[in-house]
Amino acid sequence: MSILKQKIQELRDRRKEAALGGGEKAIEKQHAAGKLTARERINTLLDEDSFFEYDLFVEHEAREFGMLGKVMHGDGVVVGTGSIEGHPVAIFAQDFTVTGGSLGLVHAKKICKIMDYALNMRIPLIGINDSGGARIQEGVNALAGYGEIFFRNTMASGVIPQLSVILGPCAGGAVYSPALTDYVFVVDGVSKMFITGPEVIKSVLGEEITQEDLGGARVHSEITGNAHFFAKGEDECFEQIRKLLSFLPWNNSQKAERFTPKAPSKKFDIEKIVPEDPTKPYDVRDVIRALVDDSDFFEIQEKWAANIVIGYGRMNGRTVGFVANQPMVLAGVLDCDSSDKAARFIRYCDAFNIPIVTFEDLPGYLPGVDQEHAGVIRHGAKVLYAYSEATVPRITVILRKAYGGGYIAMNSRHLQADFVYAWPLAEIAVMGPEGAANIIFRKEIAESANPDETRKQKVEEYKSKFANPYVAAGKGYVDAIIEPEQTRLYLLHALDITYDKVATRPGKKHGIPPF
Amino acid sequence: MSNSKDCEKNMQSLVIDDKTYETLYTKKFCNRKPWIAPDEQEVKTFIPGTVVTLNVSECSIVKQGDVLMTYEAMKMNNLVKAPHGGKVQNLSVKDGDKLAKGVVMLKIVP
Repeated sequence: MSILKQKIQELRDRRKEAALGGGEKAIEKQHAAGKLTARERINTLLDEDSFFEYDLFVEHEAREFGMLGKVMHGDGVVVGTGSIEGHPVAIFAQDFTVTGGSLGLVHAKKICKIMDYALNMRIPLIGINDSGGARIQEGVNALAGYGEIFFRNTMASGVIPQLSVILGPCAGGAVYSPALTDYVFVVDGVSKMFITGPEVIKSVLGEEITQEDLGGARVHSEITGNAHFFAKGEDECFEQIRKLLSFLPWNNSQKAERFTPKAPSKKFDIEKIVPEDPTKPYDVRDVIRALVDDSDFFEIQEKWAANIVIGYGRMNGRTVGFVANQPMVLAGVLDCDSSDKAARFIRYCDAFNIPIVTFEDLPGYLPGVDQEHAGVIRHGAKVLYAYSEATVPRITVILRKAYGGGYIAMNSRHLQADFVYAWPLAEIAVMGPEGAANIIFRKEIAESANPDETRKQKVEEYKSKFANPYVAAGKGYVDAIIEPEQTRLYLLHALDITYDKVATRPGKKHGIPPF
Repeated sequence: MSNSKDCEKNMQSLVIDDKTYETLYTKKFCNRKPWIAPDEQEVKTFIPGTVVTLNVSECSIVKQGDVLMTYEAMKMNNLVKAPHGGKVQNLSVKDGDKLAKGVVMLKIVP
């Protein structure tokens, strides 16, 4: 055998051994827990045979607590580049089979290296988290590692899409990298995220709770809002990642890829979705489906703060971000959580050149001591801030109610929307006719011989004067009153003519949004 | 409002500005707690922790600033002081008790 052949054989053997990570037994254990290994995950997610791994032979430098000479292949993390639907991506996946995917200095350095690469090359970064946490034997070096990652997450924020996939435990300081990224994917029964785990809670409080109930996939999808996409299994999760990326540009200097335009399905009859009575509920997602290409609407944070709907669809083949009040849930009110949800999405769309279409049908802000004390003023202000700040095309369609502060917040003309359309059913007013009549005509109603009859008359009077889109259209606050059937036509045109929109903002280091 | 599972599943009504809307509730909305006016006499835990040494007993007379107890939380021994003077009543904790946040430990009746 020639020397080269021998060397090649040696390389192959070394690669093979290192690629086993924590060894066959640990891989079996990972599989028994219903989880794929780090490399299996990467290969399933990326295009076939597209993955190139780096730093396979990196070794840790820890000496204390029996670490000297301990072999830990790849130091518990697999990093590299590959492609999704032919587009390049950078990826890291923590390898739980190697000492529980614990994070030490070298492990963090590998992640930072691929993060730097992703940012410099302006390609999306995908992080697969499956780690027991900081490698305690490495002490402050492990903490240093997390800090280096958080800094890079922040630098890359708004420049390249950053996706975090939680496929195992992600606890303590480790949770802050996903929290700093754009989208967090969780899988039922697999993902576990918390700052302090059940053991600590038990020792401090005596409260017993399972990892699942404390920070499982459902908790983060429905209660905390920390997760954006929930899947039943890892395969479904990878499908969601590929689909999400299809809607996004590869970095903030590009626009999302254009697909072949398709008509919406005929299944959705836009005239029949919204009930005429403004107190009756309906699913606003059907309005979106009636308008987007192929009726394909990709919803984000479906189960959390469901009184507002956010997500992506395409119109004329191009990505559009949708924000819509959901009358089906809490009458579509704005509250603390729905404001947070919408505001962050609006800022995402703005950072990545995605036009925003807003569908409005809301009674206002949610009343209640709990809301006021939870800071609905501060949270609600985020929506105003996010819309006002956004320079991407912004189009609003008022479907039905637009009352009070909610009217202003939902991308009104006053926040410099590019186009505001209203359906003929729209009511644009400070509040609903009932509330308004009770205030304006309080005296007449109280002094009337028949207060109920007087109230009814006054409500009707207010309704006929203000509960329509013509007052706002008369002031130019609404650009056009349109028939429901014409909505797609108007939106396609508005998106076309705003495609190269240029809007400038005063020069500043950054604004101070009401975080 | 009901806290049962049906609360989330069935159509409910929500009144905003005298208008009654038909809609679903969220889990969070179903679980919200009614607001209760704070009782100034109550001394509550401000953080989860453990009572280390209790310095008062039922009917003790204390003045403002007296140390009521040493309360360990997040590895710190905190001194819980009397917010105002008065008589200790409804004392419901003892040495070694592990407590959640917001638990009423005692009342000081002026």
